[in-house]
Amino acid sequence: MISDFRQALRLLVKNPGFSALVMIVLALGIGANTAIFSIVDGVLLKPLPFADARRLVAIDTTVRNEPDDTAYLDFLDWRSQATTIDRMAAYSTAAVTLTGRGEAASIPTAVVTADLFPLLGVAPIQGRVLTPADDARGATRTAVISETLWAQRFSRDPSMVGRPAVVDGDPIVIVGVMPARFEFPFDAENPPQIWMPIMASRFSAQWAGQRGASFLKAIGHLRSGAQLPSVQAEMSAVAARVNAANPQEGRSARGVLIRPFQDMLVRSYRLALVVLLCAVSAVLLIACANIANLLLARGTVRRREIAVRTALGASRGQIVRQLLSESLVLAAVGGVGGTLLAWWGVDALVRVSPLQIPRLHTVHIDRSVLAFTVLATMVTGVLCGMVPAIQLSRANPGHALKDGDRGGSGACGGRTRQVLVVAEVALSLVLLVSAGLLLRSFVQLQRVSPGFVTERAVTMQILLPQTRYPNQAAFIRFYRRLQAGVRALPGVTASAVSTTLPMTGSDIGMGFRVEGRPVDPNVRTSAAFFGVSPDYFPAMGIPIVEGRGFTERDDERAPGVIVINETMAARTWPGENPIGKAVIVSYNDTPPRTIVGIVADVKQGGLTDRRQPQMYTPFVQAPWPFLATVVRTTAAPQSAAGSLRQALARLDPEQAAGEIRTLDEYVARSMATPRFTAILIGAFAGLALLLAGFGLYGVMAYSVAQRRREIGIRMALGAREADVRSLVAGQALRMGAAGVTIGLAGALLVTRILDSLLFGVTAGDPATFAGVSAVLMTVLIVAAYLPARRATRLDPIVALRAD
Amino acid sequence: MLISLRNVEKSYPIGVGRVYVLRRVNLDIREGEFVSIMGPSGAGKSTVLHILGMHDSAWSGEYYFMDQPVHRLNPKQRSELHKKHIGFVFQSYHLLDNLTVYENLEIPLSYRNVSRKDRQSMVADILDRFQIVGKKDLYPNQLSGGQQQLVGVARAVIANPQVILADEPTGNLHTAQGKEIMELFRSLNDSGATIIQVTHSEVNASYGTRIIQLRDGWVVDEEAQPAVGSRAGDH
Repeated sequence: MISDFRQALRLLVKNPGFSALVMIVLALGIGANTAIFSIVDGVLLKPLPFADARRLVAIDTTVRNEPDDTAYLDFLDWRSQATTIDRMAAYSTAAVTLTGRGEAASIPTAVVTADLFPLLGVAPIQGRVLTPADDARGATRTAVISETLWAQRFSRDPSMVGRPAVVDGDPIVIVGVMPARFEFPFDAENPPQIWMPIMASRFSAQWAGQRGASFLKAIGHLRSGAQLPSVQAEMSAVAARVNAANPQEGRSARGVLIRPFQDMLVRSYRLALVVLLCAVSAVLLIACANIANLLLARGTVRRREIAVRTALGASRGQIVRQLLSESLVLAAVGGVGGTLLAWWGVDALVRVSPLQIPRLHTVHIDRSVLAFTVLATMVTGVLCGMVPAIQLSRANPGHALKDGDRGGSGACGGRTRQVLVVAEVALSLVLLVSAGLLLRSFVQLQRVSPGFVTERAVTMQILLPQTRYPNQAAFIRFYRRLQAGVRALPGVTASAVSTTLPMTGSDIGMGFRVEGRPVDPNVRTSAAFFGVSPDYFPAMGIPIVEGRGFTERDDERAPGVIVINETMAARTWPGENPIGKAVIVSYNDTPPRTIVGIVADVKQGGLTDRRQPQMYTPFVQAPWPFLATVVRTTAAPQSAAGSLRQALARLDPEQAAGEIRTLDEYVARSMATPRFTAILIGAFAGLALLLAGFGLYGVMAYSVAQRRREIGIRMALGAREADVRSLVAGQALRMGAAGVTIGLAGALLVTRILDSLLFGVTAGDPATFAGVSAVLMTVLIVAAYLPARRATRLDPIVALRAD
Repeated sequence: MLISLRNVEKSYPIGVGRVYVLRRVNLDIREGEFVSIMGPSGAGKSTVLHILGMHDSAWSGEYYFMDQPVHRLNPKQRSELHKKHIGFVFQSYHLLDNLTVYENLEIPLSYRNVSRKDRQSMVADILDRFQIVGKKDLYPNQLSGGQQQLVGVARAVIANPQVILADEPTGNLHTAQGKEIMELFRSLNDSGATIIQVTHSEVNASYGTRIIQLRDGWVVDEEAQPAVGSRAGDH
């Protein structure tokens, strides 16, 4: 065996050009597979970094079977009644303003129940975690902070543990520091730095008392032996009991959904990542087919050597082993190169990946990835070498050893080589069609209007702490001063304020009922709710379709007014004009608000969102302690961001600015995953196209070399250049056409899987199928043209003499 | 009888008919014989040799090797029989270009699962016996034709086969080198090896004990050679 590898290595060194070509192709193929697998492994396969992570489940309230947030009171009932879940915790994310020791900063925070830490099995590096005593209403406000925050804000001062910090204006005692590796909930963009009990946050504590306030996510740990179906059955029964005990509007549509926590976490990215892994595997498979073809071609030259070995007593198994050692050595060197490429490539890939993918930043090449690479390398080696090895070992040594034998192609897999090329073309077509569909889908997505104008618009989010802004009057005062301060900034051409902005990931849903219509207790009508400044619609570029927008006269003393979007108008008042009608919004049981205008729909969560009802009221008529300002500016976004921060500091030096981003960034973020998938699969498909073209070229060039004598005779008998060209090109096109036909059938089956990743294009889109087939055939024609042209330049005398 | 061929035929389909390479070949070779197969080009000489060497299995008829019915053996059994008893020498030497002389000699032993230690001593013995110790680290392209064929013969005999098959072993050598190789064959025959060679050369044939003439696939003549003492090379 060792001597087989030694001989293989020597052979590779003796053919440096061939070896280098094969090793580069394999290094690229194995490297790309390793890089994509490292992401799949890090995101989808590796257990979460918590104790007994496989038994963690997400427990979600469902509304009409769609997962939703959970109310604290519901959570408490679930926790007390569940028997198949031995621990349950709830959490939500927010941002708090941290003051003292440096300038005010908005810090991503998680409000959690104390059970969370023992449930996840994580220990602090300083102090302690939260306990049920911290959870109690009226308890001293406490919090646990991250190691990062401890280092950045408190210079790793151990004496900070047990001392208070000022959070949202309240003193909160820091009781512990969590290790830097602890991340929960997963949010790559804004990882939580503070964990505080629900009762320590004034907002959460307030909402915790209302069964209608759904603002939490729940996580549980399955009791030993409990299986998901039985847990689901038990929790559904618990939820039904809780609903029955609290007969409120729309509750009958609520249920509960139990899912493995990791599944819930990665569900949005699973298909895209699996598709990418399949695509990159297909590229490696195509590369293997190409290399098998090259080895087969070289095998023809080696027939004599194989025959000698057989004549000297080598069994077929020994010959196959010798040839496989060669392809394994090639693959091993390719594997080493691929690992190095992947080492570099994973970082690059993570940098261009959508940030929202959970745990992406923890992806790296580790032992399990290396084990995959070793396996991929060995499989590659066998795939590349097996067909040539079997073909060559089958050859009759008696023929090859007769002196004067010309080494014809028959015994060395002329047909096999053609089959390999057909398979390559078919596989490439499947990949190209998939890439074509995803690219078209991405283009369609780019054409979708978010419903507002994104150019030159910078936004800043602000959360007002209740200690300094205790009531609605304070919110309104801040809002007016903010408006005035922002308008005065240089370069600002328009500005507006809204409680939340579309596509920023935060929204408020509100129930509403139409004045004068009877209420169906089983149906809860709701819409996205925005409290906006009068100049919001013109500043955002949202067209008013009917009626009017808001004016300064629609203030807190004026009658309540509301503007709705087209979808809400069409769904709630089909065939009627809603202007002048009134709705009652479930917001502190406010009096009816009169509809004064209808505006165009705006995409709320992302560009692929379906239309949903939206309603707007003047901010001053429904003030909230969180608001976002949007400015259109002639200045560069960076300097505009600085100006916004300064304006806020002038307004309230202790108020931290939240996220500052352009609207373009928010829209781009919503397209990050489709862009990432389309670009990567497009790159893989391009590579596959190149390899398929190269494969066909190789086979045709070899075929022309093998048919020199035949071509020479044909030319000597009077064949014209065109005859020879069509002889060669015809053979190539037959292979191409067979590959394309098989590929089209395969693509029709495979692309169905992509359905949920597509937008504005169907999985069987005829234009994509036709376009891609045409591109592939063009590449194949070019690949066939070069050997065909070479064939026409053969000198029949030389060709015949060479025989 | 060491080797018996009975009604061995080999043919290829061409269109609706068949082209025969060998027709009803009957042949008996005893242990210790030195047989030369002669005939014009295309007579089927090499084909017979490759059938005897068990490289070719696409033929009909009966072939007994040391009383074993080769025609009934499966490829693995044939391979085992061949490995155990037959050595092969080629006109074009067919040394493996990428291997040194030492490695070329080692190859047949490695296919016979001889241990590394035994391989080393057997190769050392043969290098010594053929007086090519100084060439052991050279590659085939660093040797003359005669030297290459010397290695080829050494390789054929290294596993101590009872039968050596040689396909025009001096075809690519000049006269002096050819004589040296034929002397080598004679001495191997003297030490008990059965030798069957294909040759065009009357002189080379005269080293043997018997000549079999083939024409158009038929055995047309068999003649015994003079006694060993008066064979070529003794002159």
